[in-house]
Amino acid sequence: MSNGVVIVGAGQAGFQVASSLRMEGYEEPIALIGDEPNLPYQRPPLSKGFMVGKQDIEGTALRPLAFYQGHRIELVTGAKVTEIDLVGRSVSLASGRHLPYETLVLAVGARNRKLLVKGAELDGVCYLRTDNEAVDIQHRLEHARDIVVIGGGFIGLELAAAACKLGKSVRVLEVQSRLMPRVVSPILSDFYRDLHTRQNLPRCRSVGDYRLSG
Amino acid sequence: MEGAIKNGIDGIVAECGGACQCATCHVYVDEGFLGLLNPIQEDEDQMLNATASERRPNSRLGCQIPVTKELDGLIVRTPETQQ
Repeated sequence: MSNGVVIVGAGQAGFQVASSLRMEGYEEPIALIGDEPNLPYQRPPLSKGFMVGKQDIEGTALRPLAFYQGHRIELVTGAKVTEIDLVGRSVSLASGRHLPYETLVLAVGARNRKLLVKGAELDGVCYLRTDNEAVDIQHRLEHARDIVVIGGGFIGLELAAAACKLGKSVRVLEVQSRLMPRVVSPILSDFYRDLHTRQNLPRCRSVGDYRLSG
Repeated sequence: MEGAIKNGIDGIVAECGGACQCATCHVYVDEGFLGLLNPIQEDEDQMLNATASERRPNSRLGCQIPVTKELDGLIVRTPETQQ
């Protein structure tokens, strides 16, 4: 038996690598390491189905814990990888543990860009990426009246639409001159702007160097 | 689909998480239950044309079947492959 596969990153991609390896008959050890505390979960529902209450947070789990146990996938959550020894073929965790590997998979995902404006550290300024952040935002939405979404991409618009459904007054700020500029053409940007405006959904504006106060 | 995922049925992959966007929760529904199911919508119909195993008259996507009391005892068979 070899040292198998160590997967760094327990998001959708990391999970799928582990799952596919087992489905395709891979028999060696598999370790799936993630720095978030919960079971690997789907991010897409966080900005929509979960936010409007159609889905609970447990329902976003990709698989129950029993799946990992049943398929001999060692799931290591809440763990930070501090070092990769390419020569010795092992991964070190902040806990001091070392995991040897035959094959290493990096599925570390992305991070939200941090908002570099004055006031970004104020209470009520939230980021949406993880399940815990989504839960926090959902709680805050219960008592919030006015919502400003910074970022007019898919996630920002989904969150804005969800907040509108919840009866909130919503504005969307996008730094570029149109919505979803990195993923769709100007025609589609116009289409989505009109769709959102028609349904009395968010009003969209551009934002340059703004300052948050509160 | 959710029932299968939560209970470790390997024959259901459900890659898109139940959004009718991947056709990896394809099932063959037992003929006796077909009439009890909600009708196939356009998006499901299109996805069913993209299943890994052949589409049959009793093909459905698991994620598009809301489970109701009337469906108690529902029998579905998983296809040979989902991917």
